[in-house]
Amino acid sequence: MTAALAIHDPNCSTWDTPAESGADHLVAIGYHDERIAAYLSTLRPVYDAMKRCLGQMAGLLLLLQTRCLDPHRAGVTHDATREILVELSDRLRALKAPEGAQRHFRGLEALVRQLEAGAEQLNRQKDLIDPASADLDALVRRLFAIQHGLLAAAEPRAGLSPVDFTAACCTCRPRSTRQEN
Amino acid sequence: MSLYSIYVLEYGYVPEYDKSGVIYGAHNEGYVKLPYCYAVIKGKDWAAMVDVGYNDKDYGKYLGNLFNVKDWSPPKDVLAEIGLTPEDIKAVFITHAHFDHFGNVEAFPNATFYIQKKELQDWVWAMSLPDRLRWILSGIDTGDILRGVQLARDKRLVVLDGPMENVFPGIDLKVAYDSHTWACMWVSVRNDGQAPSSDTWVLAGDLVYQFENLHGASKQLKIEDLYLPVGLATGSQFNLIMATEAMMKEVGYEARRVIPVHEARLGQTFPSRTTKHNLRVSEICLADQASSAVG
Repeated sequence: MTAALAIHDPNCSTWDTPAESGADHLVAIGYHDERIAAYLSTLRPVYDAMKRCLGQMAGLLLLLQTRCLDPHRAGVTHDATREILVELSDRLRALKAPEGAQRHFRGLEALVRQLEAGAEQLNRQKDLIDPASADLDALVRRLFAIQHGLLAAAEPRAGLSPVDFTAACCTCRPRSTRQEN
Repeated sequence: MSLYSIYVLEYGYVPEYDKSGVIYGAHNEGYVKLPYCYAVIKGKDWAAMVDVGYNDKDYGKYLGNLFNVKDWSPPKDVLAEIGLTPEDIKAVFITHAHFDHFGNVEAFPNATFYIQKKELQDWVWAMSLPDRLRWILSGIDTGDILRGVQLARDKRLVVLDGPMENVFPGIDLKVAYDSHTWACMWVSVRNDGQAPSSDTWVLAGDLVYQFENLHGASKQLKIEDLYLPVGLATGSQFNLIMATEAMMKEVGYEARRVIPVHEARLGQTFPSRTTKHNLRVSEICLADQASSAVG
């Protein structure tokens, strides 16, 4: 403990990392409805997984368009995307959204369906190579729509954030954020 | 002969940033100002940039607030200080894919963007990792990757597999693998056009944040002058130190020729002025027959 204290600022929220995304922490920072706090806490890893799926799909398209996509790597990445999609879909199905979060929840369900449809489109890579292809156009439009949906569903104080800094410690996290906690 | 004028243009700043984020190991040593800047390389009829900052709309606004960024200004206003418009920019060298470097490509409609293949490949791979490893993705905005797809479709994204000499006359792109990020670039400008050159400037991207990374002092080691890595490495501090040595070697160990864009004291080291938006313009060097933008 003494050695670690020499590394991290005493006020650094790294000390609270295990609890930071937990429901108790969310209540403590102002989510007064415990059911909403529990919902957001359970949702955080699902939201992150959705974000990563979107990033992988966009990344695969980017590498494909720039002729940099290694077939083996493409296969591995695509498999990983599908696995994450199955897992997050299961987790979302198991989640019970409280009253007041129903609309938010249904929005995320719709985004997962969009991600699944996007993954199917991404299977047909040969149709996506031509920059002018209608298939590519449709997929890019879909991915941008998902991105906008994720932005709309973001709840950064609860860790639902399109760009995640919540896991960063005092060496790379802004002072203002640490003071909030 | 000097081929290019080089400027470092501040587009925002964080008034108090942890010193430990800037210099590895500087724990509990307080805060420093952290300017957010991009560099401009301006030739006779041509201009390029090193990185593009981030866009203060949509989620960029939230990120800026999260990082307590002050006085953010759009490229239109920032570039006007040196007589350019975003439309004048023909090439952009993206040193790495963090949101504050790759987050505003839409503002430069006529530019072709250069980035490393490994930088993209490894971020995409990192997104497949389990949730508990998500720290690795700190600073990456999936929206930027999506906008990259659009650039690629428009044939405005050049993906490089390693260093490239003379990407434009006298301009070399170098790579530090697994350092600040997976494949972080720096830009060498041989301003006399010669190789080897006696007039090289290195635009360090985030491989060097501030002067202490080049001439640091370690309280722990009781050493007065040594390289100290920046506070954030997706790769390793070892690779950051070796990249610093490579950059210093290129400029004959004349440290003032390695330009750290997050360094507020560039304002005291090079001719500079502060704009009406409270942002700094630093003139690193001037091309032949070019007029000063800060005089």
